[in-house]
Amino acid sequence: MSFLEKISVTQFRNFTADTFTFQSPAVGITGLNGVGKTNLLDAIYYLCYTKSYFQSRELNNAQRGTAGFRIEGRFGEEQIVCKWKEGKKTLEHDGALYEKVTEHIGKYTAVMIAPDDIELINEGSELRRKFIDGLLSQSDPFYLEQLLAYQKYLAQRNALLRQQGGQQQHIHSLLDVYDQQLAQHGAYLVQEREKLSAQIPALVQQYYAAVSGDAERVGLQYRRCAGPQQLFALLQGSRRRDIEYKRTLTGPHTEDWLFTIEDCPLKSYASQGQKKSFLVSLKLAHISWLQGLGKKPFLLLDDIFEKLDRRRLLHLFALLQQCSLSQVFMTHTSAEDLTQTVHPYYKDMQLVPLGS
Amino acid sequence: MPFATGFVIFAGKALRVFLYNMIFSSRLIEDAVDAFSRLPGIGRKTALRMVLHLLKEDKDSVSRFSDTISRMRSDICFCPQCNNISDNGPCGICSDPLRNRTIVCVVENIRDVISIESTRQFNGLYHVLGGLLSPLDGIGPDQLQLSNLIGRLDQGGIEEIIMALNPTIEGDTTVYYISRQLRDFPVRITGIARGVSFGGELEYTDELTLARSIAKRLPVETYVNTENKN
Repeated sequence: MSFLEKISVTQFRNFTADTFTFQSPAVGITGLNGVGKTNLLDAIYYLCYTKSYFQSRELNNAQRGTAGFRIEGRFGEEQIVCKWKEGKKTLEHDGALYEKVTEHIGKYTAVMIAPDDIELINEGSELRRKFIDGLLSQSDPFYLEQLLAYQKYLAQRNALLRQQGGQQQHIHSLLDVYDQQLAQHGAYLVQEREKLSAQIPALVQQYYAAVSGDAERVGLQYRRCAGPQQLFALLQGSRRRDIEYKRTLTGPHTEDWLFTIEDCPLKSYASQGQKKSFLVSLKLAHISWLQGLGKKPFLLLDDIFEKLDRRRLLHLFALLQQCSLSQVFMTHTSAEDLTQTVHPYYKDMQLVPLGS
Repeated sequence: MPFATGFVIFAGKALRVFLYNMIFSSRLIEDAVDAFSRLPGIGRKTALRMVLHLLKEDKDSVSRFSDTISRMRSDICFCPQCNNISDNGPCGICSDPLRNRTIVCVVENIRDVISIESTRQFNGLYHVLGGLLSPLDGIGPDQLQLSNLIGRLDQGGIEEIIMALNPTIEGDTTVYYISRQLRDFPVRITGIARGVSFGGELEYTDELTLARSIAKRLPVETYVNTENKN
C-alpha cells in the first residue's frame, strides 16, 4: 500500500522539526510565500527517489547552519527513513539499513510538476537527456546499468584525451578500446531511446489536446547522434577533433530531443501558455509511463494554480481523475481558492496550512 | 591527521584535541609513535601500545625486529620475468621446474597471485601488471608492466594467456587493451569465468550478476567436467 500517512522532516530546508499526517488521497498545502510549501513537496519526492527534485547539493538541503537532515515517512505499514549527515546518506526501511539505495528506488514513484520545469524547454540538452534517461531507467534496470557503464567509460576516455602525452601509438590503441566499449553500451541506449521516442509523442499530443483544448500539433523529435550500429564509426570519425578539443565531442551523451509545436521549435515559437501546457502534458505522459509499469505514482503539483489558467486547470483535474495515483499533493497560497477549484474533483481534500 | 578522524565519530571534539596533544615525556617515544601510526589501520593509541610493548622487550630482540623489517624492504626484489616479489632474481614460481610454462595468468597485483596460489588449482606461471588501465587515476599503458609480457611472448613457448582481472570497467578495459596488443601472437587468450559465486544462493546474488549469469549461461556438461586441465 503506497499511501503516505505521515512525514517527519528534521533540519530539512526551512523545517526544524515538523510532522505532518495525511488522511486523504488529495492534500492541499497552503500558506504564504516562503513558509515551505515546496519544501514539503520536495521532502516527499526525496523519500521516493532519495534525492531532491530541485537541489543536487545535499548540503543546501540541510537547514542553514546545520550539517545534516532527516526525512521520515510512513507509507501504510512501511517506515522509510532517509538521513544525510556529514556527507553520508543512509536509508532505512522498517529500522533496517538498505545495503544499496537502488533497492529502494522504484518502490515509490513520484511525478513533480513545478515552475522550474520550464528549464526543460529553455535550457540545454542535458536536462532533456536526464528526463528521458529517467523514464527509461525506471522501466528497465538494464538500461540504467548500460547508462552507468557508458558514463564511466566516457569519463575514462575524456581523462585520456586530456592527458594525451606519452606515446601517440598507445593513445590510439587505448582509444580504440574505449570506442569499442562506448559503442557497445551506447548502442543499447540509442536503441531504447529510439523506441521510447516513437511512443511518447502520441501520448504528449493526446494530453496536450486534452489540457489546452487546442488543436495544435506538438511533438518530440529525437536527435540521435547515429544509428545503434554506427556508433563505433562515429567515434572513430571524430577521433581527430576529439584529440584536438581534449574531450569526446559526439555520442549518445550529446543527444537531444527537439520539442516542437506545429513542426517549429517550441522554445522559440510557443507562447508561455503553450509551453506550460506542453510541460504538463509531458508530465502526464510520465505518469502514464509509470502506470504502464504497474506503479501508482504520487503527484506533486507545485504552484500549478499560478501556472495554468482556470480552464486548463479544470481540464487537468478532469484528466487526473482517470489516472491511477497514490496521492495528489498540491500547493497554493490561498486555501479558499484551492478548495473552490479542486472541490468538484476531490471532495475529501485535506488542507494542511503551513506557517500559521 | 587521519589518525584522529576515526575517534571523532565516537567521542567528538574533546578526544581529538586530546590525541593531538597526547603528551609524551620523551621525544624518542613520540617519534616512534608517529612512525607506527603511519601504518594502515593503526591509530595513535595502538601505536603507543606497540611502542610501550617494544620498550619492555630486551634490546637485542627489538634490533632483530627492526632488522627484519628493513632487510625485507631493502633486499626484496621483483622477478624480472613476471614482476612477482622474489628474494633474488626470478621468483619461486618462475624458477620452479614443475610449473607449466605454456600458460600464463595475467593479474593486477601480488595479492592476486597469493589468492590464486592459495586455490592450488593453477600450475602455470603469472604476470603481474602492477595496476589496471585508468586514465582518471593517471594509469596508462606506460604505467603497466606490459613490455616484458610481450617480451615473454616473443621468446615463444606460451600457448595460453589467462586474464584474471577484476570484472570492473578498468579491468575490462585492460583485458581488451592487452588482447589487442597480443593479437599478432599465436596464443589463446581466455578470461576467468564470472557469475554467481560457487556455494552462493541466487536469492542473495545481486541482479546485475544474476542477469549476466543468465545471459552468459553455460552448457551443463561444463559443470561435470571439472578436472584440472593445466
